Parts: sequence; structure tokens; C-alpha cells
Amino acid sequence: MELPGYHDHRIGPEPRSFWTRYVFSQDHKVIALQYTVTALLVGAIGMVLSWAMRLELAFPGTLDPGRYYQAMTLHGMIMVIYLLTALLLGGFGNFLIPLMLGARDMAYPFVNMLSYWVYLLSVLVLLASFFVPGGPTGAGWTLYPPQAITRGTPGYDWGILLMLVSLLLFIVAATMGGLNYVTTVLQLRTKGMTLMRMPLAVWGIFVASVMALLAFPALFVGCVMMLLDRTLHTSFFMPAVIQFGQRLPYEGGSPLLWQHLFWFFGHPEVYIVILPAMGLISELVSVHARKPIFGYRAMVLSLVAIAAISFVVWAHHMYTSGMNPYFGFFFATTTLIVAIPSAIKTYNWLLTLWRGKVQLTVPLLFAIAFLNTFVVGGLTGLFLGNVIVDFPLQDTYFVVAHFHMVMGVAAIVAIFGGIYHWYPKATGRMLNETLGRLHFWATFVGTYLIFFPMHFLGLLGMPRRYPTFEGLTFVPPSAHALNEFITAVALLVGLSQLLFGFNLVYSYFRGARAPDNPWRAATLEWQAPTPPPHGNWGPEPPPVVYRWAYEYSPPGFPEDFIPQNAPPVLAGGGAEEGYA
Amino acid sequence: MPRVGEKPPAPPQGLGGGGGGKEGFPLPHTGLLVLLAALTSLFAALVSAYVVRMGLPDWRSLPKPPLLWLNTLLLLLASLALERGARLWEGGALREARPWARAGGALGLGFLAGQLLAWRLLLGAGYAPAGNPAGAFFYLVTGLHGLHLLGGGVALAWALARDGRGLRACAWYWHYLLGVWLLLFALLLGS
Amino acid sequence: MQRALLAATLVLMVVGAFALALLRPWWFTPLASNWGSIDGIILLSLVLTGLAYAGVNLFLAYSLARYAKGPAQYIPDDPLLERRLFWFTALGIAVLLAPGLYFYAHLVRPPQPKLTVEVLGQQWLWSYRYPGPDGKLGATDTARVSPANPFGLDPKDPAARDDVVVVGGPLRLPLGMPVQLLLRANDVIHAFYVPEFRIKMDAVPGMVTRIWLTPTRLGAFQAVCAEYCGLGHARMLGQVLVVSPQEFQAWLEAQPRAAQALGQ
Repeated sequence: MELPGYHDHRIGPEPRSFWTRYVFSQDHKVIALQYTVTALLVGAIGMVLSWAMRLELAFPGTLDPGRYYQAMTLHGMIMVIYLLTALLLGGFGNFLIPLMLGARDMAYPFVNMLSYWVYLLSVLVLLASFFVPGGPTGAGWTLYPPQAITRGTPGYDWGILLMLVSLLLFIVAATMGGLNYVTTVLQLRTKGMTLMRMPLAVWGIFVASVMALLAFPALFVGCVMMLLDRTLHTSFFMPAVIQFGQRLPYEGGSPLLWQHLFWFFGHPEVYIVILPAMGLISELVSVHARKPIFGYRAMVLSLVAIAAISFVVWAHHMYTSGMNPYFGFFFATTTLIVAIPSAIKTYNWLLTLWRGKVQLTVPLLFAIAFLNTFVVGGLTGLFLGNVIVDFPLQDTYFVVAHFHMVMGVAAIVAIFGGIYHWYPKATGRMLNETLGRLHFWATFVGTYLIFFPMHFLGLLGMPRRYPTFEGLTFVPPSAHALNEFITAVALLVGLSQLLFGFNLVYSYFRGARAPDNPWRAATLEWQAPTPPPHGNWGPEPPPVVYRWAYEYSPPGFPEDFIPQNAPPVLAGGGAEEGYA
Repeated sequence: MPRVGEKPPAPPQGLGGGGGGKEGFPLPHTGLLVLLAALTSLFAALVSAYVVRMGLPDWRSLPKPPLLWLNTLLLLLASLALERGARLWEGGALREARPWARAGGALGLGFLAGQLLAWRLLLGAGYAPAGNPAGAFFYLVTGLHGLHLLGGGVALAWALARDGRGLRACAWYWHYLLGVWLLLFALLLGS
Repeated sequence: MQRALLAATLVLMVVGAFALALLRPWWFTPLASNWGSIDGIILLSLVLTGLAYAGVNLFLAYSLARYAKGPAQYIPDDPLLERRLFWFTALGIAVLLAPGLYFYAHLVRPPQPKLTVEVLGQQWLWSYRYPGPDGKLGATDTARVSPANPFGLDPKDPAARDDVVVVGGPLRLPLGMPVQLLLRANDVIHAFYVPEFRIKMDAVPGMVTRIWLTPTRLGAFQAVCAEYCGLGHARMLGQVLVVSPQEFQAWLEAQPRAAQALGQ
């Protein structure tokens, strides 16, 4: 069956068998679901690992240091890579891009399908490291050599091998996915959908995908080199090492080379996570406040500026690494400059709510949580980026608080908001509102209580990556009490996520039936049937676009929104003046 | 669809009405350009690591087997053959294109075989990956390049099996890897 | 009802933040070095970011409380406001960056150090080396590193023979003298950090890194490892003693020389 479109792009006929419909599907919506479910499940594992860490921090001795470090490493890597990156790009990217652009599917559906299965394989390889001799690697998600591959670090034999292989597989999957997202945005927009009429959700995911294609290769090269150091005893990163009285078979390598490669990837990576989240928030804020996003052009420009600048800030992770100290001047300057476009975006979200009609739906509640926590996390970045201030704060709880606020809270609540917002379109059911509100309050207040006080522990000088603070004379007993409090709150917040999981499953079967456009949103995905069929738009040609994505509360108009594909209505047969 | 008697307001300047999007490259090639951008990032990271490591005091230059020059020639010929094949196919002459494409593939395989032989020569001469940074980089650089070429070979075989669809993209990919090899080879020779 | 609760929560969060910053249950350790400028910049940052946080949350709370019923106003942009906000933000960034870079320049260009001490990180303890009366630290070689000779000193080098090695610490430093710390590691990356001194630096195997400070207060302090280095990372604690210059000199002269320790 050939579905008409506007491009030389054919998608195949509707799949017939169970396997081609639900398992090895080339439909972007199924792939999106696969990515989302896998990411959420592996994220749940990451969350349980964080509980183990918190129990040790509150009750030292619960875990031995090796287990603590293994939990710490897998928690970090799972959350950043296998949950956030996979869910935002693979989950939201796959679902939203074709629908929001009026396309029938991604540019390369077969490669898109492969990307999910390679991602799943990378997850399985990572989880397999729990079952090998020595267990998973405990090298920290940053995997710094020499400790990552030497005795004295858990999993230095098998665990690190599986971690590196898993990352290589993930990067292949991300490249296959990124290829699709970028090409689809460039080539498969429907008639009338110029780049500057695309919703910001697509812009955020698009720019992040371009960044991913350019940043992940640096990690790829680093991982291959570390694999060679570990297996063939090359010395890319390994200097002469005398450990526990033994001379190891390495010489002349540079541990700082790993750090440069890793952070050249690692810093853009965090923006690869936050840019799609920012895009989602722009949608949530404008739809639920019934107001056009303020400063659309500046929002697009800011996304691009953040992406570009984020490639030249990486060594702010290395101020105390022993690198040439003069680099500190350059990287502090670029790091503080990248705060400016992020601030612009924040002002624009706030100005979107200003004089809007702010409906406190569950998606908007999570968007407000994002605004609050993104601002906190972003502001503390100004401390850490300012090179000399980083000297006392590096490797303390100040850093832990900072990155959890931006990655662990802001990005996650953006995801929650996005799921509550688009679940009706994807499944045809509404999520339960009461459970949603409970979930919001527990998460918002709870994460604030967990991470805000940590900043002050960092000012005190409390070091990170310590399973216990026994013997630290400058740490007062109140800090230990605080650790116990944080653990209690963390466990409660963790449990409240069960509400969300339950809601997702229960509402799928018993939720109220969703109308096609429950939020009265202007973007194209809401014009598709619910849930969208094979080819998204049915046998009719895809919609044609006549305006930007944020026509909310247009003055003098009886409806409070105009969908992107509503044709311009001519009064008395007159010309279409006023449209540029 | 909303209906109204009056003219609806105009969206902000430049974001409203108007025609369709610009025509871009035909579909297969945009994807290839995106992929090549990612690969450029990969080889750029590799080259910068190489240059950094080369600057450290324990770098000892590696002997370059003259075989590498022959391999370079093979890769150049492979590109030429594949280019001819792609042009013939674009002109509609699939039957004439096939032998050229196959020749290109065979020459590429010849390059890979030659690289493996160069590895054996170096290993035989005592230049193992371990204990020798220049050696480690040689194997790494040629290995990554070779693996990508092999992937290109698989894509070529698949294109030939599909009546040549994708042959033009394969040819460009091959040329790109030739360019990368020339750069890497120059780097190896100069260090 | 929920609206009021949310607005109140946002306001409470600001109040809580300010309360923590003013009541200071957990705050800087008392300064013991010349790097008080860092404290100053942190305070400046706290004031500016605190105001920004308050501004954002109060604006947010107000907006969601006030603009519940609509109709919303169609305001797609405001170029003048956007330009002003841009420059306002850039100014704020400059106000933070300028003093930061100015004082960083002091860190990068140390004064002529009166004293140089070498700090060695190993899994999992700190050791220190002082130059002897010749004022020079002797040459080292990884090939000579052994449990008895963790610094890898060459027993034949006269500059090394008179060095003073203190395995496991404590690190003694004289009050009021700029001291340059040279950091090394034998096995993995460590980092030497004394919260009261404010500065820290990684110790990287295969390299010598450096940092400088002037101790400004007598007392006993604790050094911790601030770069994850394996299972014993949290146990890699050391003692630092700042003593009067006379006491320091007397102590140094009374220590055994490296030549004796190496049995030569």
C-alpha cells in the first residue's frame, strides 16, 4: 500500500504478523514505546542502586566499599546514558518528530528499528556485568584511568570490559537513531512546515541529535583505547604505575588524555539531555498557559548557541586535574558565557506564563518543577564554572547537588511532564489525575529536600564518592543527621515513583478515553487519529501547515487556539494579507 | 477545523503563511552526509589523541612497511572503479555498472588484506601494540579505518543485491574513507 | 486551593534557601590560608544567585496565582525587553567572572616560594618530602620505587640524600610562609585537599602537578583525598600541622635524612 506524501519517501505496507507489528516493528511509534519502556525499567534499576547508596550513607557499614562503588558507578551511568539520553532522544524523539512534522515515519525505518535492538543489547551487556566474576565496574561513571583498570577498583577485570563494550554498542545505537532524527527533520517535513515553524520540542531534539553525532565519537575513541589498554596492555592512558608494590606493564601514557576525550563528549552529553527537555517544557508551558511561547526566535537561537558553546567548555571538569592552568581562564569564560542563552530561555518560559491562562494540569505542574530546579541547578553551575571557586568545591557535595538538580530532577520532571502530556495521544487514554498530582507533590518537594541542603555540605568541604565519613574531623554530627534525613526522604520519593508506574499501566487498560486533542494544542501530532495508525495520517495526504506552532489565544478569534494545519480563512474572498 | 467570519490574526513576521520547505538533497545523500559528519568527529578525536601522544617524550617512530604505499594505491583504484560504476548506474546502465562496482569492492578487499599483511609484518618485526605508543596507535588507526571500510563493503554488497540502489552513496562513502586514509597515512609517515 | 499551595511552596523554597544561607548550619570551615578571596567570591555568587532564585520563584508564584482565569494575552515577543534581559544577564555574568579570573591569576602565578614540599599520593596514604639543607629536592625514578622508598629516591644523588621523607604524614608547614606543594602519585590519580586551605589539586601518576598557599593560622587540620582512587578512597586521610617557623625549623633539623632511611 502506498500512502501519498510530499516527498520521495515510501513507507512499507502495514505489518501483519505479531512479530512485525509489536516486536521487530519499523514504526517510529512502536520504537518510541520500546525505548521508553526499556529506559524506564533500567532507570528503576538505577533508582534502586541509589537507595543502596543512600542506605550506606545514612547507616555506614550497610555495604562494603566495593559494593558502594559498584552501585555508584552503575547508578550514574544508567541514569545519564541508558535512561535520560535514550528516553529523550529514542523515546520522545522517535514519537514526536514524525508526528509533529507531518511525516509518515522516520527517514530510515529499518535502521531506526535496529537502533532500538542495539540499545537493548547494550543494556543487557551492562546488566550482565552484575553476574561476572568481580561484579560490575566500580570506577565511577567517569571511568578515569588508571584506577578504572587496576586492582584496587572493583570490577577492574571483567566489569570494566562489559561496561566499555556496552558503551560502544550504545554509541552505535545512538548514531543509527541520530541519523534518522536529523535526516527526518531536514528532509521529511510536510508542505508548509518550514524550519522556523517547527515546534520547539522538535528543535530541542534535533539540535541535541546533531550534538550527539559529533560528541559520542570522542567517547567511542576513548573506550576503544581503554579496552586496548586493559586487554593488550597498550599505554594510551596508562603511565608507569607502581601499585601495592608491583610495577604494572604500562609506561608513558597520559591519564589526562582520557579526561579530555571523556569530557569533550561528557559536557555536550549533559546538554544533549537538557535540550530536548527544554523543548518539551516549551510545549507544556505554551499549551497549558494558552499563550504563544515568548520569543520563539530567541528560543531557537538559544538552543543553537547552547549547542555550539557547549563544545568548548569541557575542561571546566578538569580545573584541578593538573592540566595547564592557563586553560582555566579560557574555559571559565566560555562556561559562564553558556549560562546566558540558558537564562534567556528561562526568562522566556516565565514570560510565557506571564499574563497567560495558567491551568494547573499535571503536565504544567511538572513544568513548574522543571523551572524551579533548572534555575537552581543552573545557578550553582555559575559557582563551579568560575575556575577559582571550583577549587574548594570540586569533588564535594556541591557538585553532587548541582548535577542532580539539573540532570536528576529537572530533566526527569520534564520527562514526567512530557509523558503526562502525550500519553493520551499515544494510547488513547488519560492518565489518572489524582495519582499524577500525588506523584508531582512527592517528587517536587522530596527532591528539593534531598538535594538543596547538599549544597551546604559542599560548602563545608564534604567530599563526594565517600561511602562513609568516619574519621573526618571537620564534619559535624549534624551533617550525619542530615544524611539520615536525606536517605529517609529519598526512599519516600523513590516509593512514590511506584504511583507513576502503576498509573502508566492501570490507565492503559482502565483510564478514561482520551479525545483527539484533550489539551487543545496547536501542534500537528494532535491532528492525527488517537492513537495514530500506520503512516500516522491514514490514507489521506498528511496535513499542510499554514502557520507557526504557538497560535494560542489569538485576539479576536472565538477559539483560543488555531492548529498549525487550519487553512487561513478568507473573509469575503479577499487576499491572504498579513501572512508573510 | 475552526471556522470564523473575520480574518484571523497574523502570526509573527516570518513564522506565518507561505509556501513549502526548501528542496534539499535527495533522501539517501542527506543521511550519508549526516553519517560522514559523525565519522569526521570520530577520526578527528583519533587524530588529536594521536598528535597529543606523539608529543610525549617516550614516542619512538615506527618503521613504515612499503606495502602501505601499495595498499594506498589499491584504495585509490577502488574509489575510481566504484565511481565509474556509480556513474554508469546513474546513467541507467546497471549491467555495465556491475563489473565496475564489483572491481571496486574487490580492490577494497585487497586494501584490507594488504593492511592485515602490514600488521603481520610489523608484529613479526617485534612491534607489538603494547610497550610502543607509535605501534599501538598504528594498529588502532588502521584498525578503525579498516573496520569502517569493511562496513562499507557490506553496504556495497547489499546495494548490488538491490539492483544498485544506494550505489552512489556507497561510492561517496568509499571516497570519504580514501580521503581519511590519505590523511591518516600522511600522519603516520610524519611521525 | 492547589494553586495557593503551589505558590506558597515556591515562596517557602526561597525562604528555606535564604534560611540555610543565613543560619549556616553547614558552612565553610574556618579559613587557614591566604585564599580568603575564594570565600569572598562565593559570597558574592550566593548573593547574586540568591536574588536571581528569589526573583524567578516569586515571579513564578505570582504568575500562577494571578493568571488563573485568562483570557491569555497574545504576546509572542518583545524585542526591547529581550535585549534588555540579555544585557542584564551578561552584566551579571561579567560581575561574577571578573573577580574570579583576577584571583585565579594569583593562583596561577605563585610568588617565589620560600618552601617547596612534595606530596605523594599512594593507595591509600599520603607521604611528604622536604628538601634538606641544600634546599633542593633530589631526583627520583619510578624504577627505584619500593615500599621502603616510596618516592623512588636515588641514594647516590647528593640532593636526594639530605631530603626528609615522612611516610603517612603528618604534613608540617610553617605559619606565614608561601609554600609550593608539588604533587605526585605512584599508582592512580588522587587529590590533596584541606578544606581550611580551600585549594586542592590532583596528584597524577606520570606527572608532577603543583599548587601554592600561605598558611595563616596555627592548628591541626585534616587532609582528605578528593579524587576517587579505589576502595580506600574514603580512608585516605592525613593530618596537617601548621606550626611556628621556629618550631618547623627545629622539627625539620631533627628528622632523619633520606640517606639514613635508605640505609646508606
